[in-house]
Amino acid sequence: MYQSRTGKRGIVVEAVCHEDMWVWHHFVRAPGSLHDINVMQQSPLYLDAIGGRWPPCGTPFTINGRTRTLHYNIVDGVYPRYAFLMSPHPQPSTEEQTTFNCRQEAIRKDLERLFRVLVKRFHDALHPGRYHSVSQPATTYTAICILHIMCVESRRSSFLSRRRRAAGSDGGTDCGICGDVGGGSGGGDK
Amino acid sequence: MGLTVAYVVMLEAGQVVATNRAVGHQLEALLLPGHLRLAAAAPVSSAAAIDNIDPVRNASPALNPAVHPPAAGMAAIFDAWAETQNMQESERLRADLTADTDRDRGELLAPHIG
Repeated sequence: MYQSRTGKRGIVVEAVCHEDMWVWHHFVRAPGSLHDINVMQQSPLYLDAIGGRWPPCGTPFTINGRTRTLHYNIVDGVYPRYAFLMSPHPQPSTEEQTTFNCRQEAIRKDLERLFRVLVKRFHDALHPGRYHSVSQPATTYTAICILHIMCVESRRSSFLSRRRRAAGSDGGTDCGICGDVGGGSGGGDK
Repeated sequence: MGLTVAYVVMLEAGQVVATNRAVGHQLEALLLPGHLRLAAAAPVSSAAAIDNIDPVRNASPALNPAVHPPAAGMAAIFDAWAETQNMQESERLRADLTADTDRDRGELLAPHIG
C-alpha cells in the first residue's frame, strides 16, 4: 500500500466529473505522497489529451465570439497553463477577473462535492488501509464509481440544474462537454 | 470488406477528409473499433445532443460524434501535443472566458439573488 505525505496510508484519486456528479474519468494508481501535477502526468486522461485522443474535437463551442474545438477541464491554480486546463487568474486585479475566479471556484466545488458524496454513500472509499495491495482500492473505486453513476442516472431528472436547463433559465456558457459542466481534475487522499 | 464499410460510413456521415494525410492512415483510424463507432453516428450539435437526453430513461451524457475522426500517425500526435501545451492559447481562452463571464454576470447571479 502507498503512504501519504502525513505517513498514513493514502492513495490519490484523480477524477473528472459533470455538474451532476457524473464521473467522466477517475484514476486511482498514484501514491498519496505525490503532488497533483505528478499524478496528472501519469494519468490516462493527460496521456490521451496530449496524444489527441481526448477530448473529441468534433463539437466546436463559441466563447466571446471565438469558436474553438479543444475542450478544457477546470482545475485549480497549481496546474500548468495548458490549453486543455483552465486555471483561475493567479493574481486577479480587476473586477472581471475576480468574478471569473469566483465562478470558476464555484464550478470546481462540484468535484469536492463528488468526493464527499462518494465517501458518504459508499463507506469503503474512506479506508484505503484495509486493502492489501494497490490494485484492490483501484478496483473498489471503479465499482464505486459505476454504482454512483447508476444512482446519478436514476435521479438525474430531479436535479435542479436539469430543471433550470429545461426551463431555459440556465445562464451557463455553452461549451460542449466540459464548459457549463465543471469538469475538473483534482486529487484527494482517501 | 472492412474498407468498403469504412467508405460507406464516411459517405453517410458526410465527413470532410483531410487532404494532407495518406488515405491509408485515414482508413486505419476509421477502422479502429472506437473510431468506427464515432464515425458511424450522425453529426449532432451540442445543444441538440443535450435535448436528446431522454428524461424518462435518464441516458448518459451524450458524446457528440466526431466530425473529424482522430487522426493517426506521429505527425498528428505531435500536433495534438503542441496544441494542448500551448500557453498562449490557454491565456486567450481564459481572457475570453473572463469577458464572457463578466458579460453574463447578471444572468448568472439572477438565480442566487432571487
